[in-house]
Amino acid sequence: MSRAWDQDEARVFVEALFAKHHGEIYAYLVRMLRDGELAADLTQDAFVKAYRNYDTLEKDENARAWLYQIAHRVALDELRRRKIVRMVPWTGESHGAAPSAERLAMDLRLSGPLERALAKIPERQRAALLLAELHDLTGLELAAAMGVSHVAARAILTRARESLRRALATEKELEHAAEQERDAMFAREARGGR
Amino acid sequence: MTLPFRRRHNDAEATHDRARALSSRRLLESLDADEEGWLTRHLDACTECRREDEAFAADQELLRSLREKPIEPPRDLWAKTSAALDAAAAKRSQPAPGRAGRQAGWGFPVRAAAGVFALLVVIGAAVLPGLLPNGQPGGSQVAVGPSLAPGPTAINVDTAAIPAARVSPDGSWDIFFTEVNKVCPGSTPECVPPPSEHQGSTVDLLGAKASSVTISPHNDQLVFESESGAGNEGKIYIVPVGPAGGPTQAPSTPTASPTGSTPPSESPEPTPAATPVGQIEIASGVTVVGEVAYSPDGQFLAFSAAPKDGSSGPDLYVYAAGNPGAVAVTSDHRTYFSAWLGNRVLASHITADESAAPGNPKASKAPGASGNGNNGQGQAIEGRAGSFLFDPATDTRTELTQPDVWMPVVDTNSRFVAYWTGTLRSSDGVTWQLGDGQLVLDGWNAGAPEGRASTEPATPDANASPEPVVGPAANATPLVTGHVEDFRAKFDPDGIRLAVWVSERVGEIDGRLHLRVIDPATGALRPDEPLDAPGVPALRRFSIDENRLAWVSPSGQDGHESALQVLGWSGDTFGQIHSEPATNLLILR
Repeated sequence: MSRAWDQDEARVFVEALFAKHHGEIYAYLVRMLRDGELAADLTQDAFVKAYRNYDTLEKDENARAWLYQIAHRVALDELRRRKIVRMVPWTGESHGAAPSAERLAMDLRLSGPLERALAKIPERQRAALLLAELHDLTGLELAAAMGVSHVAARAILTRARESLRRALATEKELEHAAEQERDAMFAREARGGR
Repeated sequence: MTLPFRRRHNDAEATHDRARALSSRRLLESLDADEEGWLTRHLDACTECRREDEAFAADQELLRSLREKPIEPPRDLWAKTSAALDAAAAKRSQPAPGRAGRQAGWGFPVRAAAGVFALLVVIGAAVLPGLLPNGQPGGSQVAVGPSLAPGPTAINVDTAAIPAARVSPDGSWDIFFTEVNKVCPGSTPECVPPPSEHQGSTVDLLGAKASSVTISPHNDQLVFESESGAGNEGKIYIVPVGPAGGPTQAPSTPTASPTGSTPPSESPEPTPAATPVGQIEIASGVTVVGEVAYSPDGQFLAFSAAPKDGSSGPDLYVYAAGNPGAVAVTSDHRTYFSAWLGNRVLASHITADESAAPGNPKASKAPGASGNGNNGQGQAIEGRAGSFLFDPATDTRTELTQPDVWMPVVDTNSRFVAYWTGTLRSSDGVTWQLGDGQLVLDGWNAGAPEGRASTEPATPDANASPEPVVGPAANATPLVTGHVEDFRAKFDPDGIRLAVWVSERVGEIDGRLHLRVIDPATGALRPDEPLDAPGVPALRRFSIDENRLAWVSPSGQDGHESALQVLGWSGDTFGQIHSEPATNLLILR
């Protein structure tokens, strides 16, 4: 049974929700989008949506999964939008033209083979892995957050594990090839320096 | 085309899939004792699955190591969020006369707001991330789950429900029905939430050959072939399904054979004791070749089936509700069920050109003689197709007049027919493929009423006298371009929309689906196709019914998983919608 929307109640509720969960929601969005500034903006966006849609939450005990559902949809929406934005001619003055120090720091933090592999798998699969393995959602919470049935959530997660495994193998191969290339370059330089 | 004489489902593969699913699942939640035991035994026996299990666990550890890199939110996040909440509250409390839908909260006329918003999304997200409503970059309009309301562009459609199933590795089939009443135009995909489903039964069909599982027109029975399980291989069953909770009551019980002269009895007899409760075995020792289909009234079932041992090709079988089993109505071992036309069966048979048999110098050389080859399997036997109508109520067979008509499908108004016209090829005389020819649309000569059809009872290899007026009108138009190895065609109930699934590779379940629309006034194909040319990726099974076409998209399309896709229409206005992604989806009719 949904509750009636009450402005004061909604505000109190969302403030409490923010105090408890904003850190993990932000971290989830960073990992999904690989952009700290954008993740901060979308975290804010997610809490505003929680506020507006406070009346759709049926049980308080489901609030965390419900909040993840909002964040998940915000993230997917943003990723979809990026695909559209890519079609707009780049002017050289866009958001990504001069990365901030924070953005660079974030990129460094997310630059390992695992992060790169995660970035390469389909978005929903990435979300499933992050939510299950890093954010400790149960199977049912995962299903609620992703807006699919329990069976479908498990299936997406299985597919995600398979995709990650393949992507990691590719990343390791690339890394190995890059190392060999570096070694060869050093060897050439060493020979040239003699 | 591979004449559908191939097993599409691999039982061993399904077992490994189940192991993989359980390996993944137990990292998320505990398995029950049976599942845990089964998985342990399987991993002991299967090195590859054990490696995968270990890799899943290792990757989990690796993922969890990311926790050691904490991600701290910016300090001003609350200040910004609080300001955004204030702004949202202020907007919510503003009066907005004449508004409708969730866009109304922004205080603009809906269409204008949508247009401005779309523009801001594209420009703003790229250039000015801080200038969208509430200062939120992207200003996302995503609503929470079920509260998402249809956008202004949704197209209302009145469609037939889509029966489908999700198949679990443990052999249970969750049957569900998808209701679609709104679709989105191509310009605004996902303008409405995924279509709603209502759950049907869950039935245990462990070992079922997926391509054979078909639901009856009244959604109260499933027919399937069992290809594995203790003593169940090569048996075809009918199992009743209810609205929920699995098998309900037994289907109609045995009475008479369709080839006998005794009309179906009104008095039921007991279900054979050897079969599970509610389940009827209608054939054994055979494997289904191609499609299984109920007649439109649900009283008959038709399919072609070949001996399980592969010793010969298929014959046409018909099962009548209430009979003890399906009966072969041909015995030439080269007859393939094509479709129902009202309550008559359309089927095709092959006549091999014996003068071109292997070993005979006249045999055509393959591959690449011309058109569709035989995949390099040496010398090819060429076959000629013929088709006929069979009436299971009277056991009469009417040969179509035109030769080289393969797998014809006729619309419900008996105006049009789609078929392959050309030759067939085989390397062994048992398994046949499409040879040279093309897939066409033609007019259909329905012939005289029943009285003019041959009234000869169907007999093995009967050479029934041809009826000069029944069959294609010999005014064929190509339906699709490009190479065709396999196809399926079905008309919608209006008889003017024809869905054609085509595969370019032998034995593949992935192909491309086309929808061709026929101008009812002229009988000509309209040049524009509602689905993107050259068709959309689709698994072999699709469903076309009132005002909609449904199919399952293969996984891997743009990195996406499989999903139930629906093209709906209202007159000449078409739109599309898809379900949430899922694995192991199967359309049941």
